[in-house]
Amino acid sequence: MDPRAFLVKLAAVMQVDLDELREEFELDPDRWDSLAQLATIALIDEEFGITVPAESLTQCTTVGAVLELISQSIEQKAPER
Amino acid sequence: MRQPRAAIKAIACYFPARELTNEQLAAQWDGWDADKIMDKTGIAVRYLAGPDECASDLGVAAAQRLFRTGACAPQEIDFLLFCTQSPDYFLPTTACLVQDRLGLSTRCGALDINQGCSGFVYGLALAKSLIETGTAANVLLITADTYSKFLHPKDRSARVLFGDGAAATWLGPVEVEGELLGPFVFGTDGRGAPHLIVTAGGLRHRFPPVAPPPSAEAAGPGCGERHLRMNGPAVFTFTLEAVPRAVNELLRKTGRRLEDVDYFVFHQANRFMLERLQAKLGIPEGKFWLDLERGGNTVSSTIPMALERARAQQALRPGDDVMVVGFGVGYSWAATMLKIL
Repeated sequence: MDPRAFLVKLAAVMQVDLDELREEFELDPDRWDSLAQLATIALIDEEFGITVPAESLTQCTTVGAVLELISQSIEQKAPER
Repeated sequence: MRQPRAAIKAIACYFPARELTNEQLAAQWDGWDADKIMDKTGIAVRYLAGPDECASDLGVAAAQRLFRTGACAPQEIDFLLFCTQSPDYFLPTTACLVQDRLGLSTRCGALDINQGCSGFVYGLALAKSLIETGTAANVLLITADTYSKFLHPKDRSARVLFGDGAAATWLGPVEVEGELLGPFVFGTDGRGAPHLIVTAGGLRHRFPPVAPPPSAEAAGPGCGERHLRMNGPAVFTFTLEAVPRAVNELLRKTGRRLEDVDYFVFHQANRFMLERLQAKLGIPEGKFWLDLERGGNTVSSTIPMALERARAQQALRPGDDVMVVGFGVGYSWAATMLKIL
Protein backbone atom coordinates (compact mmCIF):
# COMPACT_ATOMS: atom_id res chain seq x y z
CA MET A 1 0.00 0.00 0.00
CA ASP A 2 1.11 3.51 -0.77
CA PRO A 3 0.09 5.79 2.06
CA ARG A 4 1.21 9.10 0.54
CA ALA A 5 -2.18 10.34 -0.71
CA PHE A 6 -3.70 9.21 2.57
CA LEU A 7 -1.11 11.07 4.63
CA VAL A 8 -1.63 14.30 2.67
CA LYS A 9 -5.33 14.19 3.54
CA LEU A 10 -4.70 13.04 7.11
CA ALA A 11 -2.46 16.07 7.60
CA ALA A 12 -5.42 18.25 6.64
CA VAL A 13 -7.70 16.40 9.08
CA MET A 14 -5.18 16.76 11.91
CA GLN A 15 -4.42 20.35 10.88
CA VAL A 16 -0.63 19.84 10.79
CA ASP A 17 2.07 20.10 8.09
CA LEU A 18 2.71 16.95 6.12
CA ASP A 19 6.39 16.93 7.23
CA GLU A 20 5.27 16.64 10.83
CA LEU A 21 3.17 13.57 10.16
CA ARG A 22 5.87 10.92 10.64
CA GLU A 23 5.06 7.47 12.00
CA GLU A 24 5.95 8.45 15.54
CA PHE A 25 3.61 11.47 15.41
CA GLU A 26 1.47 11.27 18.51
CA LEU A 27 -2.29 11.50 18.29
CA ASP A 28 -2.92 13.58 21.39
CA PRO A 29 -6.49 13.56 22.70
CA ASP A 30 -6.97 17.26 21.94
CA ARG A 31 -6.60 16.67 18.24
CA TRP A 32 -7.66 13.01 18.11
CA ASP A 33 -11.27 13.70 19.08
CA SER A 34 -14.31 11.87 17.75
CA LEU A 35 -14.64 14.23 14.78
CA ALA A 36 -11.03 13.58 13.74
CA GLN A 37 -11.64 9.87 14.15
CA LEU A 38 -14.77 10.03 11.97
CA ALA A 39 -12.85 11.93 9.33
CA THR A 40 -10.06 9.34 9.43
CA ILE A 41 -12.51 6.44 9.08
CA ALA A 42 -13.98 8.21 6.04
CA LEU A 43 -10.51 8.82 4.63
CA ILE A 44 -9.43 5.20 4.97
CA ASP A 45 -12.67 4.09 3.30
CA GLU A 46 -12.09 6.58 0.49
CA GLU A 47 -8.41 5.83 -0.11
CA PHE A 48 -8.26 2.09 0.51
CA GLY A 49 -11.88 0.94 0.13
CA ILE A 50 -12.00 -0.63 3.58
CA THR A 51 -13.66 0.17 6.87
CA VAL A 52 -11.40 -0.35 9.87
CA PRO A 53 -12.92 -1.40 13.23
CA ALA A 54 -13.78 1.84 15.05
CA GLU A 55 -12.57 0.50 18.43
CA SER A 56 -9.15 -0.30 17.00
CA LEU A 57 -8.82 3.09 15.36
CA THR A 58 -9.83 5.06 18.44
CA GLN A 59 -7.15 3.20 20.41
CA CYS A 60 -4.35 4.21 18.03
CA THR A 61 -1.93 6.63 19.67
CA THR A 62 0.44 7.29 16.77
CA VAL A 63 0.22 7.74 13.02
CA GLY A 64 2.35 4.58 12.68
CA ALA A 65 -0.31 2.60 14.55
CA VAL A 66 -2.99 3.90 12.16
CA LEU A 67 -0.91 2.83 9.15
CA GLU A 68 -0.32 -0.59 10.74
CA LEU A 69 -4.06 -0.98 11.34
CA ILE A 70 -4.76 -0.16 7.71
CA SER A 71 -2.33 -2.76 6.37
CA GLN A 72 -3.71 -5.37 8.76
CA SER A 73 -7.27 -4.60 7.67
CA ILE A 74 -6.32 -4.82 4.00
CA GLU A 75 -4.78 -8.25 4.59
CA GLN A 76 -7.72 -9.67 6.46
CA LYS A 77 -10.83 -8.07 4.99
CA ALA A 78 -13.54 -9.18 7.38
CA PRO A 79 -15.96 -11.65 5.78
CA GLU A 80 -19.52 -10.36 5.43
CA ARG A 81 -22.09 -11.83 7.72
CA MET B 1 -53.41 -5.79 -13.49
CA ARG B 2 -55.06 -2.88 -11.72
CA GLN B 3 -55.39 -3.43 -8.03
CA PRO B 4 -55.24 -1.26 -4.92
CA ARG B 5 -51.67 -0.13 -4.41
CA ALA B 6 -50.50 1.61 -1.26
CA ALA B 7 -49.12 5.12 -1.71
CA ILE B 8 -48.13 8.10 0.40
CA LYS B 9 -50.90 10.65 -0.08
CA ALA B 10 -49.91 13.48 2.25
CA ILE B 11 -47.35 14.40 4.93
CA ALA B 12 -47.43 17.09 7.63
CA CYS B 13 -44.69 17.91 10.14
CA TYR B 14 -44.39 19.56 13.51
CA PHE B 15 -41.54 21.00 15.56
CA PRO B 16 -41.87 22.05 19.21
CA ALA B 17 -41.47 25.78 19.90
CA ARG B 18 -38.30 25.87 22.02
CA GLU B 19 -35.15 26.55 19.98
CA LEU B 20 -31.58 25.49 20.63
CA THR B 21 -29.26 27.56 18.46
CA ASN B 22 -25.55 27.19 17.73
CA GLU B 23 -24.94 30.41 19.66
CA GLN B 24 -26.55 28.89 22.76
CA LEU B 25 -24.49 25.70 22.38
CA ALA B 26 -21.22 27.54 21.70
CA ALA B 27 -21.68 29.59 24.88
CA GLN B 28 -21.49 26.37 26.92
CA TRP B 29 -18.07 25.18 25.74
CA ASP B 30 -14.73 26.95 25.54
CA GLY B 31 -13.15 26.99 22.12
CA TRP B 32 -16.42 26.46 20.27
CA ASP B 33 -18.13 29.00 18.13
CA ALA B 34 -21.44 28.99 16.32
CA ASP B 35 -19.86 29.07 12.85
CA LYS B 36 -17.75 26.03 13.61
CA ILE B 37 -20.82 24.06 14.74
CA MET B 38 -22.71 25.10 11.61
CA ASP B 39 -19.75 24.16 9.42
CA LYS B 40 -19.32 20.72 10.96
CA THR B 41 -22.97 19.71 11.30
CA GLY B 42 -24.97 21.76 8.81
CA ILE B 43 -27.47 22.42 11.60
CA ALA B 44 -28.48 25.96 12.54
CA VAL B 45 -31.23 25.22 15.04
CA ARG B 46 -32.78 22.26 16.84
CA TYR B 47 -36.25 22.33 18.35
CA LEU B 48 -36.72 20.84 21.80
CA ALA B 49 -39.84 19.51 23.47
CA GLY B 50 -40.82 21.30 26.67
CA PRO B 51 -40.69 19.54 30.07
CA ASP B 52 -44.35 18.51 29.77
CA GLU B 53 -44.30 17.84 26.07
CA CYS B 54 -44.04 14.18 25.02
CA ALA B 55 -44.00 12.15 21.81
CA SER B 56 -47.80 11.93 21.80
CA ASP B 57 -48.10 15.72 21.93
CA LEU B 58 -45.75 16.21 19.00
CA GLY B 59 -47.44 13.44 17.02
CA VAL B 60 -50.93 14.80 17.68
CA ALA B 61 -49.83 18.28 16.57
CA ALA B 62 -48.39 16.89 13.32
CA ALA B 63 -51.55 14.87 12.60
CA GLN B 64 -53.79 17.86 13.36
CA ARG B 65 -51.83 19.83 10.77
CA LEU B 66 -52.41 17.03 8.30
CA PHE B 67 -56.16 17.03 8.97
CA ARG B 68 -56.31 20.84 8.75
CA THR B 69 -55.00 20.70 5.18
CA GLY B 70 -58.19 18.83 4.33
CA ALA B 71 -56.18 15.98 2.79
CA CYS B 72 -58.10 13.46 4.86
CA ALA B 73 -60.44 13.38 7.85
CA PRO B 74 -59.89 11.67 11.22
CA GLN B 75 -62.88 9.39 10.70
CA GLU B 76 -61.36 8.00 7.48
CA ILE B 77 -58.33 6.57 9.29
CA ASP B 78 -58.78 2.89 10.07
CA PHE B 79 -55.25 2.11 11.24
CA LEU B 80 -52.77 4.15 13.25
CA LEU B 81 -49.07 3.26 13.42
CA PHE B 82 -47.14 5.29 15.96
CA CYS B 83 -43.36 5.04 15.74
CA THR B 84 -41.37 6.25 18.74
CA GLN B 85 -38.52 5.32 21.05
CA SER B 86 -39.56 7.87 23.66
CA PRO B 87 -43.13 6.85 24.54
CA ASP B 88 -45.21 8.73 27.11
CA TYR B 89 -45.71 5.61 29.27
CA PHE B 90 -44.60 2.01 29.56
CA LEU B 91 -48.23 1.24 28.96
CA PRO B 92 -50.69 1.85 27.48
CA THR B 93 -49.42 2.07 23.95
CA THR B 94 -48.99 5.69 22.84
CA ALA B 95 -51.09 4.97 19.74
CA CYS B 96 -54.13 4.38 21.99
CA LEU B 97 -53.74 7.81 23.61
CA VAL B 98 -53.33 9.37 20.19
CA GLN B 99 -56.41 7.64 18.75
CA ASP B 100 -58.51 9.34 21.40
CA ARG B 101 -56.87 12.74 21.17
CA LEU B 102 -57.21 12.85 17.39
CA GLY B 103 -60.81 11.68 17.47
CA LEU B 104 -60.09 8.64 15.33
CA SER B 105 -62.79 6.00 15.12
CA THR B 106 -62.95 3.44 17.92
CA ARG B 107 -62.99 0.88 15.09
CA CYS B 108 -59.43 1.99 14.27
CA GLY B 109 -56.51 -0.38 14.78
CA ALA B 110 -53.61 1.25 16.63
CA LEU B 111 -50.16 0.14 17.69
CA ASP B 112 -46.70 1.50 18.44
CA ILE B 113 -43.54 0.48 16.69
CA ASN B 114 -40.28 0.96 18.51
CA GLN B 115 -37.64 1.77 15.94
CA GLY B 116 -35.40 4.80 15.53
CA CYS B 117 -33.83 6.05 12.34
CA SER B 118 -35.14 3.09 10.31
CA GLY B 119 -38.65 3.44 11.79
CA PHE B 120 -40.30 5.45 9.03
CA VAL B 121 -39.35 2.92 6.35
CA TYR B 122 -40.53 0.09 8.60
CA GLY B 123 -43.81 1.99 9.03
CA LEU B 124 -44.17 2.25 5.25
CA ALA B 125 -43.68 -1.51 4.90
CA LEU B 126 -46.35 -2.24 7.53
CA ALA B 127 -48.77 0.28 6.02
CA LYS B 128 -48.30 -1.23 2.56
CA SER B 129 -49.00 -4.71 3.93
CA LEU B 130 -52.18 -3.53 5.67
CA ILE B 131 -53.47 -1.66 2.64
CA GLU B 132 -52.62 -4.12 -0.12
CA THR B 133 -54.07 -7.09 1.77
CA GLY B 134 -57.29 -5.15 2.32
CA THR B 135 -56.79 -5.21 6.09
CA ALA B 136 -57.00 -1.41 6.27
CA ALA B 137 -57.73 1.35 3.78
CA ASN B 138 -56.31 4.52 5.28
CA VAL B 139 -53.25 4.26 7.47
CA LEU B 140 -51.92 7.14 9.53
CA LEU B 141 -48.21 6.67 10.21
CA ILE B 142 -46.94 9.02 12.90
CA THR B 143 -43.25 9.28 13.74
CA ALA B 144 -42.45 11.26 16.89
CA ASP B 145 -39.44 11.38 19.14
CA THR B 146 -38.12 13.48 22.01
CA TYR B 147 -34.50 12.29 22.12
CA SER B 148 -33.51 15.59 23.73
CA LYS B 149 -34.85 14.18 27.01
CA PHE B 150 -32.25 11.38 26.80
CA LEU B 151 -29.26 13.68 26.27
CA HIS B 152 -26.80 14.52 29.00
CA PRO B 153 -26.48 18.31 29.29
CA LYS B 154 -22.73 18.01 28.78
CA ASP B 155 -22.77 15.54 25.89
CA ARG B 156 -21.90 18.03 23.22
CA SER B 157 -21.58 15.62 20.30
CA ALA B 158 -25.16 14.40 20.78
CA ARG B 159 -26.63 17.78 21.71
CA VAL B 160 -25.44 19.41 18.50
CA LEU B 161 -27.06 16.70 16.37
CA PHE B 162 -30.41 15.70 17.83
CA GLY B 163 -33.64 17.66 17.84
CA ASP B 164 -37.25 16.74 18.61
CA GLY B 165 -40.08 16.62 16.10
CA ALA B 166 -42.86 14.63 14.53
CA ALA B 167 -44.35 13.82 11.15
CA ALA B 168 -47.76 12.47 10.18
CA THR B 169 -47.95 10.52 6.94
CA TRP B 170 -51.24 9.43 5.38
CA LEU B 171 -51.14 6.32 3.23
CA GLY B 172 -54.04 4.94 1.24
CA PRO B 173 -54.89 2.79 -1.78
CA VAL B 174 -54.63 3.94 -5.39
CA GLU B 175 -55.96 1.85 -8.30
CA VAL B 176 -53.04 1.62 -10.71
CA GLU B 177 -50.83 -0.81 -12.52
CA GLY B 178 -47.51 -1.40 -10.79
CA GLU B 179 -46.22 -0.62 -7.34
CA LEU B 180 -46.16 2.90 -5.92
CA LEU B 181 -44.28 1.82 -2.80
CA GLY B 182 -41.72 -0.96 -2.52
CA PRO B 183 -40.00 -3.31 -2.77
CA PHE B 184 -38.24 -3.22 0.57
CA VAL B 185 -34.82 -4.18 1.87
CA PHE B 186 -34.33 -4.66 5.61
CA GLY B 187 -31.31 -5.25 7.76
CA THR B 188 -30.57 -5.86 11.42
CA ASP B 189 -27.33 -6.31 13.34
CA GLY B 190 -27.86 -6.35 17.08
CA ARG B 191 -24.12 -6.42 17.68
CA GLY B 192 -24.40 -2.65 17.30
CA ALA B 193 -26.78 -2.28 20.27
CA PRO B 194 -24.15 -0.95 22.73
CA HIS B 195 -23.08 1.80 20.35
CA LEU B 196 -26.33 3.75 20.45
CA ILE B 197 -28.21 3.02 23.65
CA VAL B 198 -30.04 4.35 26.68
CA THR B 199 -29.35 1.61 29.21
CA ALA B 200 -31.70 2.66 31.99
CA GLY B 201 -35.42 3.17 32.00
CA GLY B 202 -36.52 -0.28 30.91
CA LEU B 203 -36.93 -3.13 33.35
CA ARG B 204 -33.36 -4.41 33.12
CA HIS B 205 -32.09 -1.19 34.66
CA ARG B 206 -34.83 1.02 36.01
CA PHE B 207 -34.17 4.75 36.05
CA PRO B 208 -31.82 5.48 38.94
CA PRO B 209 -33.57 7.79 41.40
CA VAL B 210 -30.72 10.29 41.34
CA ALA B 211 -29.92 13.50 39.53
CA PRO B 212 -27.66 13.32 36.46
CA PRO B 213 -23.99 12.94 37.35
CA PRO B 214 -22.31 16.35 37.59
CA SER B 215 -19.99 15.77 34.68
CA ALA B 216 -19.90 13.40 31.80
CA GLU B 217 -17.44 14.19 29.12
CA ALA B 218 -18.81 13.74 25.62
CA ALA B 219 -20.60 10.50 24.83
CA GLY B 220 -18.20 8.32 26.73
CA PRO B 221 -18.98 5.66 29.28
CA GLY B 222 -19.01 8.37 31.96
CA CYS B 223 -22.41 9.36 30.66
CA GLY B 224 -25.18 8.56 33.12
CA GLU B 225 -27.03 5.39 32.31
CA ARG B 226 -30.27 7.28 31.90
CA HIS B 227 -28.69 9.14 29.01
CA LEU B 228 -28.10 8.31 25.40
CA ARG B 229 -24.66 6.85 24.77
CA MET B 230 -23.45 7.22 21.24
CA ASN B 231 -20.22 5.76 19.93
CA GLY B 232 -19.91 8.03 16.91
CA PRO B 233 -16.98 6.31 15.17
CA ALA B 234 -18.59 2.85 15.52
CA VAL B 235 -21.96 4.03 14.20
CA PHE B 236 -20.24 5.81 11.33
CA THR B 237 -18.32 2.69 10.36
CA PHE B 238 -21.52 0.66 10.39
CA THR B 239 -23.22 3.23 8.16
CA LEU B 240 -20.39 3.24 5.61
CA GLU B 241 -20.80 -0.51 5.22
CA ALA B 242 -24.54 -1.09 5.61
CA VAL B 243 -26.03 1.78 3.61
CA PRO B 244 -24.22 1.23 0.28
CA ARG B 245 -24.98 -2.49 0.60
CA ALA B 246 -28.70 -1.81 1.17
CA VAL B 247 -28.82 0.65 -1.73
CA ASN B 248 -27.23 -1.85 -4.10
CA GLU B 249 -29.46 -4.65 -2.89
CA LEU B 250 -32.55 -2.54 -3.52
CA LEU B 251 -31.31 -1.61 -6.99
CA ARG B 252 -30.80 -5.29 -7.78
CA LYS B 253 -34.26 -6.12 -6.45
CA THR B 254 -35.90 -3.47 -8.64
CA GLY B 255 -33.74 -4.13 -11.69
CA ARG B 256 -32.77 -0.46 -11.77
CA ARG B 257 -29.43 1.26 -12.07
CA LEU B 258 -28.44 4.11 -9.79
CA GLU B 259 -28.99 6.55 -12.68
CA ASP B 260 -32.62 5.41 -13.02
CA VAL B 261 -33.50 6.71 -9.56
CA ASP B 262 -34.76 10.30 -9.69
CA TYR B 263 -33.93 11.24 -6.12
CA PHE B 264 -32.34 9.86 -2.96
CA VAL B 265 -33.71 10.76 0.47
CA PHE B 266 -31.66 9.24 3.27
CA HIS B 267 -32.17 9.57 7.00
CA GLN B 268 -30.73 13.00 7.79
CA ALA B 269 -28.24 11.81 10.40
CA ASN B 270 -25.56 14.47 10.05
CA ARG B 271 -23.97 16.33 7.18
CA PHE B 272 -20.57 14.68 7.36
CA MET B 273 -22.00 11.17 7.17
CA LEU B 274 -24.40 12.04 4.35
CA GLU B 275 -21.72 13.73 2.25
CA ARG B 276 -19.50 10.69 2.63
CA LEU B 277 -22.32 8.30 1.65
CA GLN B 278 -23.18 10.42 -1.37
CA ALA B 279 -19.55 10.39 -2.54
CA LYS B 280 -19.13 6.69 -1.89
CA LEU B 281 -22.26 5.78 -3.86
CA GLY B 282 -21.54 8.30 -6.62
CA ILE B 283 -24.93 10.02 -6.34
CA PRO B 284 -24.86 13.28 -8.35
CA GLU B 285 -25.59 16.70 -6.87
CA GLY B 286 -29.21 17.63 -7.35
CA LYS B 287 -30.39 14.07 -6.73
CA PHE B 288 -29.42 13.82 -3.07
CA TRP B 289 -31.30 15.51 -0.27
CA LEU B 290 -29.18 17.17 2.39
CA ASP B 291 -30.96 19.53 4.74
CA LEU B 292 -30.42 19.53 8.46
CA GLU B 293 -30.34 23.28 8.91
CA ARG B 294 -33.67 23.67 10.70
CA GLY B 295 -34.36 20.82 13.08
CA GLY B 296 -31.24 18.62 12.94
CA ASN B 297 -31.53 14.87 13.39
CA THR B 298 -35.09 14.11 14.52
CA VAL B 299 -34.54 10.32 14.36
CA SER B 300 -37.62 8.61 12.83
CA SER B 301 -39.02 11.84 11.37
CA THR B 302 -36.14 13.06 9.21
CA ILE B 303 -37.24 11.16 6.09
CA PRO B 304 -40.91 12.28 6.00
CA MET B 305 -39.79 15.83 6.87
CA ALA B 306 -37.29 15.72 4.00
CA LEU B 307 -39.91 14.31 1.58
CA GLU B 308 -42.30 17.10 2.50
CA ARG B 309 -39.69 19.85 2.21
CA ALA B 310 -38.33 18.49 -1.05
CA ARG B 311 -41.82 18.41 -2.53
CA ALA B 312 -42.57 21.94 -1.34
CA GLN B 313 -39.33 23.15 -2.95
CA GLN B 314 -40.13 21.15 -6.11
CA ALA B 315 -36.97 19.11 -5.83
CA LEU B 316 -39.42 16.20 -5.96
CA ARG B 317 -42.09 16.22 -8.67
CA PRO B 318 -45.07 14.01 -9.43
CA GLY B 319 -43.94 10.78 -11.06
CA ASP B 320 -40.47 10.81 -9.50
CA ASP B 321 -39.07 7.51 -8.29
CA VAL B 322 -37.42 8.16 -4.95
CA MET B 323 -35.21 5.88 -2.92
CA VAL B 324 -35.51 6.31 0.84
CA VAL B 325 -33.08 4.72 3.30
CA GLY B 326 -33.26 4.75 7.10
CA PHE B 327 -30.37 3.50 9.26
CA GLY B 328 -29.11 3.74 12.81
CA VAL B 329 -29.94 2.63 16.35
CA GLY B 330 -30.21 -1.16 16.67
CA TYR B 331 -28.36 -1.43 14.39
CA SER B 332 -31.37 -1.42 12.12
CA TRP B 333 -31.77 -0.30 8.53
CA ALA B 334 -34.41 -0.36 5.82
CA ALA B 335 -34.72 0.95 2.28
CA THR B 336 -37.50 1.26 -0.26
CA MET B 337 -38.62 2.95 -3.46
CA LEU B 338 -41.62 5.25 -3.60
CA LYS B 339 -43.35 7.15 -6.35
CA ILE B 340 -44.35 10.77 -5.83
CA LEU B 341 -48.08 11.14 -6.65
